Amino acid sequence: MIAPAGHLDGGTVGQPLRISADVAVVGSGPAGAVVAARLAAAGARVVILEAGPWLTDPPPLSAFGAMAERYVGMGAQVAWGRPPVPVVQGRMVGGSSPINGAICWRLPQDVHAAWLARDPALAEALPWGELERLTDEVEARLNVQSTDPAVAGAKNRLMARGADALGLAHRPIRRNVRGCVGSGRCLQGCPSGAKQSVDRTYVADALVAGAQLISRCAARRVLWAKGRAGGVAAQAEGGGAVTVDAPTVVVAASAIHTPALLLASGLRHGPVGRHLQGHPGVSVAGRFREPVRMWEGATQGHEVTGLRDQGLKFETLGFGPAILASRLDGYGDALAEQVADLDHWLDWGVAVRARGEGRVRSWRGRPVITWQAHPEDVRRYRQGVKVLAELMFAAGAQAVSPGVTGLPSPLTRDQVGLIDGAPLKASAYKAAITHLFGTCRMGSDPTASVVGPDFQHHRVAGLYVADSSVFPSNLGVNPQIPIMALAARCADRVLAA
Amino acid sequence: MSPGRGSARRAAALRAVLPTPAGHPARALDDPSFWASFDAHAPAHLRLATSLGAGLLAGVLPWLLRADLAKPDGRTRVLAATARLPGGAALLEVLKVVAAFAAFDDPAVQAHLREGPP
Repeated sequence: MIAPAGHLDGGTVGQPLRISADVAVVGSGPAGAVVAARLAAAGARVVILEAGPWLTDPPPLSAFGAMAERYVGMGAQVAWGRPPVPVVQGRMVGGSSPINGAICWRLPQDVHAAWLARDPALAEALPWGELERLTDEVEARLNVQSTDPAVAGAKNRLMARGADALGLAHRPIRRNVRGCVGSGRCLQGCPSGAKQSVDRTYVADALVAGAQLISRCAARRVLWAKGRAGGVAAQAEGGGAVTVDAPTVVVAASAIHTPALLLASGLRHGPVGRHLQGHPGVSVAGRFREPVRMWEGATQGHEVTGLRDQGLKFETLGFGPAILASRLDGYGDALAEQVADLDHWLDWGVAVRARGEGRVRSWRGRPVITWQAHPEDVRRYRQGVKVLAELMFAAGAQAVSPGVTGLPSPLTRDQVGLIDGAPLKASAYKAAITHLFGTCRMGSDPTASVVGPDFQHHRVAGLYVADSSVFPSNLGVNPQIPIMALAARCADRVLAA
Repeated sequence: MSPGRGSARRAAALRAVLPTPAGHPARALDDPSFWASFDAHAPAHLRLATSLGAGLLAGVLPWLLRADLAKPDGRTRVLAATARLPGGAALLEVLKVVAAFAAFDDPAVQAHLREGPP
């Protein structure tokens, strides 16, 4: 893929650069890309600032190479707590969308209803019918469709078999792909360009409509004075200071980097950085008699939805061999014995709608994340691990590796009951957090929220937040599409202003 | 400690945590390009944990226990002793992740998984 005109690589910017625009958009992930495309299409002069690079070459074959190139902190960014938990984010044009599992969910109506129950003023700001219309629009642009059985691969077919046997509701995952060939490498970046990530869709649309994108250029401060936004100060990797003078600033840098940027800009009003929520996930690996080659087939192509009302959603996972090997229990020769027949192992995960909350602070302009699981979350980890083990055995696994300290491993089918006695302490589970929310909450009460129902900062006119920072809560489902639908709504509010 | 010696110690620790599985090609875990990329991209806490774990696993504990990491019995004793230390299990998990990345970054290992043994 060739970067189109309108893109400037910040690595080549060695001198101070000053640009004037109608709107400065910070971040080119799902939210920033949608905002930029919508505003540029309406005729606004838009400049997008993105800290990561524009990657146009096929992703590296090695998982290590891909994570070093494409993930924040090589995939080892951490939320500090007991225990520290990895927080997974992409860092490139397109944000995390080029390296996510391409899973698409619409905003659940029960979640929307809970938001309105908490703050009735949101009913006018986020009308259900309008969000549905915007969601349809986004899904059409991203070509969202159910996983094609022809590219599902063994891991996805086996989850369907296990769920059928247990009587749990399940379905092929709806994904934003066009011509997926089942490379199984979504998490490294699609090698065939089939994934309709936002760098290929909305960012490209924005540039065609006349927007400018500066990659490898990190926003350092939102410029504001007398309660009015004035632009963004940024630092290009080439060493040049970049200033975008703009009366409207839309921050869409993720629920981690958006509050960090506001704090670094002296915008400490409201609960900025607080109420960080997410979806921690744990996984169970299972060994099958026949080779299943987890790294082949649609990366994440099947899900079990039957326990979503309990805050649990189960998904196939599509790691390469390196991550699968590191997920197996044990060390030394016992681990090597399992890795010897790695092609017989699968790993499935459960995403938990966590009650635990955390906080993002800014230290020298960089985010520092803390997060602690709630005791109820740990109970859900344990419940999720048991259901995953049951699914594995129902699908034909011979043994499972539960990934829980204090449990024997591997477990046989008649040992599944032991999981009921697994420790109820967070450190016993190997969790990682994806999907982050809530650090610049939207609300009508300026003391309890950071932005108003119009996405605009309570204290600084012309400053908007468009990403999942504004979500009043986590969703319990993959947020890519809801983030984009709300971002479109944000763009419409900017245009209306 | 020179970078070369640091890489060798880290490689020895990774080899203890994840020895070459039966039927897999041998891997060069002290590949300078892997460690250069690791040191350039890994966050400070991951580099620190890896160095600390390597120092324990491939330095202090084999000396204290008179154990040879190249032999299965020696590895088992050192790994068990590490796991019993406060925070030791977490260090082993970190080393396991790095070991898996280093091992499967090797083109020969990738080819083995794609195509099976030659």
